[in-house]
Formats: sequence, structure tokens, C-alpha cells
Amino acid sequence: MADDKEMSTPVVDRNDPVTGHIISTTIGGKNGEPKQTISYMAERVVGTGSFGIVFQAKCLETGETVAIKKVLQDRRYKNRELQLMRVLDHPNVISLKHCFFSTTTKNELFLNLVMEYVPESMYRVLKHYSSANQRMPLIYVKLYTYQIFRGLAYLHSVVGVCHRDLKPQNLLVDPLTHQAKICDFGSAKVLVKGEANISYICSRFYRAPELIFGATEYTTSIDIWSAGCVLAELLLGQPLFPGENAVDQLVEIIKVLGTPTREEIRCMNPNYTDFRFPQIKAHPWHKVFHKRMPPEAIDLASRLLQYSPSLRCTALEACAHPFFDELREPNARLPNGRPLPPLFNFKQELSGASPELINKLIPDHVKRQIGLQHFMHPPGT
Amino acid sequence: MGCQGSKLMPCCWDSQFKAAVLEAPDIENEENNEVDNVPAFREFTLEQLKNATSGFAVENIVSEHGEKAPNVVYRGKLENHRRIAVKRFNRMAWPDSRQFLEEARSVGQLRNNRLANLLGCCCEGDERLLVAEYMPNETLAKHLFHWETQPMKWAMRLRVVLYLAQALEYCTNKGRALYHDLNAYRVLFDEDGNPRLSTFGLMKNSRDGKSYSTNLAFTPPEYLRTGRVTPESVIYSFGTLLLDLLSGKHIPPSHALDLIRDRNLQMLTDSCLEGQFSDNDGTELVRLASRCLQYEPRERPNPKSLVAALTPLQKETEVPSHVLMGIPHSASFTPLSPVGQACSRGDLTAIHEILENLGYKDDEGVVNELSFQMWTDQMQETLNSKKKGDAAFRQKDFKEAIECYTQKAADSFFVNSQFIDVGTMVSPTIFARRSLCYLINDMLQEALNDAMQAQVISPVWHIASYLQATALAALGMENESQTALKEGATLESKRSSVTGKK
Repeated sequence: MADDKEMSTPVVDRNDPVTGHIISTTIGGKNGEPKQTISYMAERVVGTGSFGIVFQAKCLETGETVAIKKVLQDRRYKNRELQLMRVLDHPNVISLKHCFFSTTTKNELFLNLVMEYVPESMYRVLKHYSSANQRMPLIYVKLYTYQIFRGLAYLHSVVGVCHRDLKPQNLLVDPLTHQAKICDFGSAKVLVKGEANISYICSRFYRAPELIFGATEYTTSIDIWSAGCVLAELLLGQPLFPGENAVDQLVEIIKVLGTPTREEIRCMNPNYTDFRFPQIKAHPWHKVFHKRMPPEAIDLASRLLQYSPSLRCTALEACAHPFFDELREPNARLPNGRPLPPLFNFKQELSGASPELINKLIPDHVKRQIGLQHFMHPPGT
Repeated sequence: MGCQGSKLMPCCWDSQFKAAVLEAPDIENEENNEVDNVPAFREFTLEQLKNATSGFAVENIVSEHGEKAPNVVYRGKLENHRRIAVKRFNRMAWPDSRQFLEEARSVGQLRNNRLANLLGCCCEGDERLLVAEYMPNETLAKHLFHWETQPMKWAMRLRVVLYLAQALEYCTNKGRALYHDLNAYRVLFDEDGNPRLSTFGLMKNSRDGKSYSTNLAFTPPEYLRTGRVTPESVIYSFGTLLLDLLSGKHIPPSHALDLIRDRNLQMLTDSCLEGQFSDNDGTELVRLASRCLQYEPRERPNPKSLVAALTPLQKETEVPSHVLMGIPHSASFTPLSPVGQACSRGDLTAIHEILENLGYKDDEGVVNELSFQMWTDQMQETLNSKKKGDAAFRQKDFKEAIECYTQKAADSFFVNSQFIDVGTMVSPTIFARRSLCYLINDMLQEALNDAMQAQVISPVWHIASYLQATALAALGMENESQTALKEGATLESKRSSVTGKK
């Protein structure tokens, strides 16, 4: 079972409908800390899935709104999602505030993950624009995808974790600050080189082609593919590869990227090189994206949506792409004149990056603010 | 297939065809000096191109996306047995017929053995068609990206880029430097396995302005800005072709340049090339690619300097391309099947036996004739004459067979004109049988006509090609006979691979 030394004692929880239901738990009481009771009033269900439910709740003591993900806990195992979330700490990744167990009258054990509450998801924002028959303004496309890549850079290079289910539903947006956060680590895993992983992960429209090919030794580049699909969807207003089933998913990809070459198939899954595919030439991208689409957007999308996993750029390289240069302008602002959410407060994610890349990632005006301008510029410039 | 073929009337066909065959030697005499054996540019009638492609039969489509593509390329054969590729534009592509003709005539002046030369065009009503030399050995995209038996060797890849550079140099010298959407699908392989640049890419109507049909991440930066191609844009696209040949993958050039700058060549290189080239060779090609992909158009090399840079890199220059490519060549022609051999020898007795044994099995799609017996007396008579013909054929009474089959052919023509729906009555087998009867009676031209008619009805039937080979040999047209023989062998092997899969 999950190590419950940091966990409060299980609370008894009737199996009632969520709304209006109050759950109380205690925290602290260790190392001389005072014990403290926290009560959450469940307000509404914000998500359901095979995992369980997520509901919005209010902390009665502090008035703070939180999201609680309630999942059935197998007493034999530690919960991987909880283990992971405990170490996550990044402005573009949802944070865990607290967690507790609850039991039902049927003696089922539930794990409750109490997380910060972010009101909107990218999925709902997209729906908002498409129902108004509008495209998302380019500045938001840049702002959101940049933050996704920054979150991914942290997950991939600092924590070493692959999200494995990136999609608009799992990307949260604060409509006021326009801060974006990656959530739902139910499928996430630390990938170890040389170790096999299951390939039946990730939601269909956003699945990297090597997963469709049944590859088990994939890398974090599957998240980069998914992020590329999200970028394209924000630009287009609809999914780029809307496959109706697993095979059709591959057909949708081939329609846009052309049939993968022999070499590209080898890069995705060497066991599949004898597979025959219909030979289809890449679809003209000017028919996929509208005419006035900035070339940088198309360049970035083509670097993310590569068949060869190793050729997809890394999350940090994506952040440095010229498509996001507008965000690095000294006078960059939200359309309403308010400042952008924090975008350049990098920490460990820059370790291991080349000086050239770091130089691109931190705009000069920020370097000057933090007194880095001499240190960051290569000598002689 | 049946309906389309049956609309061509056998009786009219004959006279037209004779005239065309008589004309053929004149055309062949108007050869250009730069290459051997390529006739001068000419205009074709729509009728001629319809006949050449079996009425633009679906079976003859060689371009991608089949019928649905906006412009379709068909394989075809002229009356003089020259194999051709016919590009049929959609109706809106060239509204101005004069502009189309001027462009085609201009490109038609080019003659070079690095090009799939433009032989002619057709401009009738709404129809706009181009006719070029037929290249039987597929595209560079196929050999590089979707190869079946062997990946392309390094030496061959170097040869492809040199030949292409030479093609561009020739076109530039002739004042046709603008090539639209140069990519791996525009490079075709001829009978000898040598790469050639398609001349269709030299002709693009200026109105739609869309020179590039691929992902814009692969197009020259200035094209993104201005929407126009310049001679320098062609060099940029040549650079993307260099990347294709080096990597075997579709890498956006901006990304490839980053990899090159970071000296990450291993990530770029096609794994099939492992151990085939030295670091020096690779570096040289990569350097050339980076020069072609320069952001500033004027910093890119011209075709002449491309040729100069690529010539010293060549490898295994004494090995013919078809050997490097592993393509069966006419010189090392694959052994023919029994029917192919019989037709090649002109062994009429053997052919007779084969046709007799084959019966009507190859008349695919021909409706079971029993069901027609209920129809009219006239239909019954048609069937009777066919039966009489078959009996005479079996008993080697070839004159009688010709008479009966001719009766049957005339009847079926009559039937067709009355009942379009039973157009499938026209049988390629009957034409094949009558063709053999004519051969035996030394009526060679008639024999050839029937063999060709059999092909019009059934464009992929190998027997039709084989019989043409026999008739052509008897007429003393040795080269044409060889071509027909090869075509028959190709069709037959395709056929057996299809039935083998079933």
C-alpha cells in the first residue's frame, strides 16, 4: 500500500452523490506539528473516466477551491500517480496540495488527490472558439503551446517522466492569467532506456505513430508528437488526425505526412519493416493550414510531427523555436494589456542545454533584469 | 473495361490504323541531334491519345491517387509502338489554349537523355494533354523511400544527383531554368535504369501560381514570401533532394540544417547506407546540400557548379545503372513463358495449341453467354457463328474461322450499337484467335490490327502484346517486336503475381 506515514488516516466516506458532500480529514500531527482538520465540500464533478472521478471542492477552513481526483486504490500496490505527483514542482504542471484515503461502507479504499484548481481546459477553450466559428488568436496559441513545452521540458529532463496521455482535455488554462498547466499523471511513467513499456497508451488522435506500430521501446518523444497534434489543433480549430479507429488513425496521419519511408518505419519499429502501406504522397500542407498561417508555425509543426522519433525536436528546443519569439519581445503583453504569465523563470530544466540554446531561451531584457547579460553572452559579442 | 473498349469500332479502327503505321517512319526521321531515337515535338489528336491509352483506361493510370487526382498520367502506346506517358490536365488548368501550346512547344524543343522528353501535346476543346517518353522503371520516391527488393546503393544515389544536376544545367542553358516542385516523384528511371527528370515539371500554368504541392516547410523561403519560383528556388529544391538521398527520410530542410550545424550527421543518414561511404564523401554531399539550402537565393550554387562538384564524387562509374539498381535489363532479359517463347519464335502451331487450350478463360468480365440465348434469334445467330468459328479454329480451318469470327465481330458491333449494356460481348479472345488465323494466312497487317484491338479491349492482357510481337516481327519491325515482347512479359509477370496473391 502507499506509504501512509505522510498521509492522514482514512476517513469514512459514504458512497453518496458528490455534490454537497463534506469530507473531513486531518493533517499534521507529526514531528510536533499541531493536528489540523481540513474539510472539503464537494461542489461538482468536473471529470470522470475509467480511473474514477475528479470533482471541484471547496476547503471550508480556507475557502480555497481545489480539484480532488478520487481513484480506487489497490491495497497491494503503491499508487504511481501519487508517487510522481509528490515530486512535481513546476509552474506549468498541476501541483498536488494534499492527499488522503477514504473508505466506503463496502470497504473499498479510495485515494483522494487534492490538487490546485484551474477553471478551464484547452478542450473547452477550443470548443468555445469553434462554436463561435472563430480561430484561437495566434498569441494564445503561442502562449499555451510554449507553456506546454516548458512543462514537458521539466517533466522529461528534470523528473525523467513521460506523460503518455497529452491531449487538450489534460491541459488546463487559467482564463485570467492564461497560465497553462499539464494535468492527469494517471498514465505517466519514468521511461528507462532498454526497458519495454506498454504501447496501448495515449488517446487516439494524439498517439504517436510508433505506438500505433506497437513499439514498446519508445521515448519521451511520444509526448512531443502529442504536443505537435495539440499545436496543430489550436491552429486549425479541429483535430489534425481524427482517426476513427487505430488503423484509421494511421491512415489520417499518412494522408497529411505521406506514407512513411522504409527508413522511417525502421526508426519507429524495426519489426515492422516488412509491412506494406499504400503509397500516398504527402498532402499539400497549404490545404491543411490556411494561407496566412505563419511559416514559423508550419516549420515548428513539421519538426514535431516527424515519423522518426529521434528526429522530433526536444521540448526545450521547441521552446526556443522562432514561432515563440513574439513572447520574448520586451514589450510582450496579453491582448488586454496585462502582463504575460511567467515564462522565463527556468530552474533545473536548463541543465545540460547548450549555451546557445540557453541564450535563445532567455530574452535579453530578462537577462538584464537578473544580471545575466555578461554571463550568458559568449565572449566577444 | 468492356464498355469503354467496345465503343471503339473495329471497322473504323482498321483504316485509321493503317494510315498511322504508314506515317510512322516519317516521324522517326525527324530526329533531333542531341539524342538518338527521339522524334520531334508534334501535336496529337485527342482520338490518337484515346486510342493510345485504351480510352484513358483506369488500368493505364500510372500517377498516384488514381482517377481522383486533379491531373492524371496514363501509360499508352502510339500506333508506331512507341510507349508514352500522357498527362491529362483538369479542365481549369489551362484556360488559355494559346498559352498552353506555346509553353508545350517551347518545352518540346528540349531534347536530352537526362530528361523524359516531351514528345507532343494535344489541345482540343477543353482537353489539355501532354505526351512524354514513357519511363518503365518507377520514380525516385519509390526506389528511395518505398523500395521493395533492395535499398538504393550509395554509388547510384551519387549518380542520380549528378544526372539531375546535368538535366538542370541543360534546361538552364536552353532558357528553361524554372522547374516547378522539383521532388523525388519528378525523377523517373528509364529502361536502362538511368534517372531522368520529368519534363512535365517544366510546364505549369502560371495562373494558379501553386508551384509547390508539398508541405510548405520543404519549400524555398522566398517562395513563402513571394509565391513565385526563381531559378534559385530550383536549386533549393535540389538541396532537399540531396537530403532525401542522404537520409531516406522526409526531414524539413530547416531542421536538417540544424542537425548539420550541430554535426549530427548520424541522425540524418539513411541506415541502409551504413558502411557504404567514407565520412569525406558524406561530408562533401552535406556541404553541397547546405549551400543549396542557403536562405539567401544568391548564395546558392548554379547548376553548372553543382555538376562540377558532383562529378568527382562519382563511384563505380563503369557499372551500368540497371546493375546498380538491380533492374532486369533488355540485354539480360528474363526467360519467357511458353506462350511468350512461342510468339517470340513465331511458332504459329504452338501458339494455336496454346490459344486453343486457353479457350475463353481470359475474357474476364464477359457475361456468361448462356444467359443471352434467351434473347433474340439474332443473338442466337451471333453465338452460332462464334461456335462455328471455334470449331473451325480447333480443326485448323483458319479461313473459315476468320469468316465466322468476322461475322461475330460485326454482329457484336451491331449488338453493341443497339444494346450498350451487352457491350461486354466483345471478346479479346476472338480478336486474338482471328489475329492468329490472319498470321497463318499471311495477312500480317490484319493480324497486327486484331492483336492491337485485343489490347484495346483488354489493356493488361499479355497475349495481345505477344501476338503483336509476332506480327511485328513478321512485318520486319524487329525493334517494335522486341518492345511488345517485353511488354507482354511484364504484363504476364504482373498478372501471375496478382493471381499468386489471391
